[in-house]
Amino acid sequence: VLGERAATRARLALVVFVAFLLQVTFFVDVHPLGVAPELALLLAIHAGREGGADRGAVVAFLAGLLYDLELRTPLGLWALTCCLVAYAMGQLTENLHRPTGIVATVTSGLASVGGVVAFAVLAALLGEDGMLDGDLLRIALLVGVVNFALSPLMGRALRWAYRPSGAMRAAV
Amino acid sequence: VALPRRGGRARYRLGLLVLTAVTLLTLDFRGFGPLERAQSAARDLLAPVRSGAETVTSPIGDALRGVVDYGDLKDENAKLRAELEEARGQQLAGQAASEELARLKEQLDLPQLGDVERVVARVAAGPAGNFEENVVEIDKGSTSGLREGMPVMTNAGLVGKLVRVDRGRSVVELVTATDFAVGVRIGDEVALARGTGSGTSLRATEGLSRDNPAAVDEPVLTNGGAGSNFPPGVPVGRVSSIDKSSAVPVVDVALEADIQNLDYVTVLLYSPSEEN
Repeated sequence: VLGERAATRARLALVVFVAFLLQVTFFVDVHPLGVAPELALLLAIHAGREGGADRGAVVAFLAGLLYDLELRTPLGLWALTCCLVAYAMGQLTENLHRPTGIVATVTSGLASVGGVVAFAVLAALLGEDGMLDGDLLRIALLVGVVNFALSPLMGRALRWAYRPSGAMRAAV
Repeated sequence: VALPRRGGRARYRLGLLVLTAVTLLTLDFRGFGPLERAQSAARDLLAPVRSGAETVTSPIGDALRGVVDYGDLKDENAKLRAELEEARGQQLAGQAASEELARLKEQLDLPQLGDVERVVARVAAGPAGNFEENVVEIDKGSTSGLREGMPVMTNAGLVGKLVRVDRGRSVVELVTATDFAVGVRIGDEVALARGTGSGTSLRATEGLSRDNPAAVDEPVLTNGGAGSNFPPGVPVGRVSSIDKSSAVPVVDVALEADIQNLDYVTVLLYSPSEEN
């Protein structure tokens, strides 16, 4: 069981790190629809869905913190947003409904819109200038669309990271 | 019985995470030195992996942009050719004027921009995410002698200043950033003003009077002076328009440097305390 746990953590760390690298390299140059996807947020949504509110929030917090390191917004802001989003997604999945297929993808897009708005509101509350201007709605909606498109890939990556290995499945 | 216990543990852990985030935010706002150093050390640690990832992803990104922006690139190419022709014509006259200015400055014992040491750096990346505007990252850092606050320019003019310096990388805040400020002088009459970023250009306000608000097309240069991060005489741009409707005239400055398409920049190793 310990080995399985370590393997899951290693896979999660890999997914978090690859998402981070893509965000700060590839998606700095490539802006589909004029915006960059928010991969930390998308990862938080799927971590909450696949790992549950408890474990998902921790993974999302670390993904957000890694992203925070590269940005000039206050340290801890993306970490806070991501862990809240993952917790909310985890609670919804555990207590209400586990979405699949297109419903899961649409939910990811909608949750991304909510996450971007939540980030901007938190930043504005902390005194960051220009976060709640007219551009916020455009950015939030377009990030929702881009994250919607990338959601199946992220979902697959997180399912791979959380899946029990063949030996573990056989033992169970 | 199992579900509430699990929910309780999740809430407890969420509480801890929120507390950690709030602590980090508080320390960050207070400019807690050890936290800033830890952040910088973590970025230095990640920098080689990031550079490796950039080497792999940037050709793909360039190819994608080339396909999507082909028409724009063609237009831009034609525009640049026309500008190059014009610049060739002006070069000779500019060179003569520069030499004359240098001789005059030498006679008056004024500091010259040419005396300031400089480091050339490549623009490694633009802003990450959707909430960072008017910043770029360059591939030189403290190991090349760079420090926070140092001015950054191209051959055309001022680009911005360093706001974050790690060992091998630095972040440049562009002149268009809303919290960017620089003392400038405008035109031959030498009207002094404070230039601040407006998001897309630079605006000069404070210091101008209605009687002498400068004129359109006049050159705008940094003023320098005691305590300024910028040496005097760095070209900034030209006056593009003047709004005299308010009590203090507002001058819009068309920047000389093309900050939308930066490839290489020059960092002036200028420290106000040493130079003044």
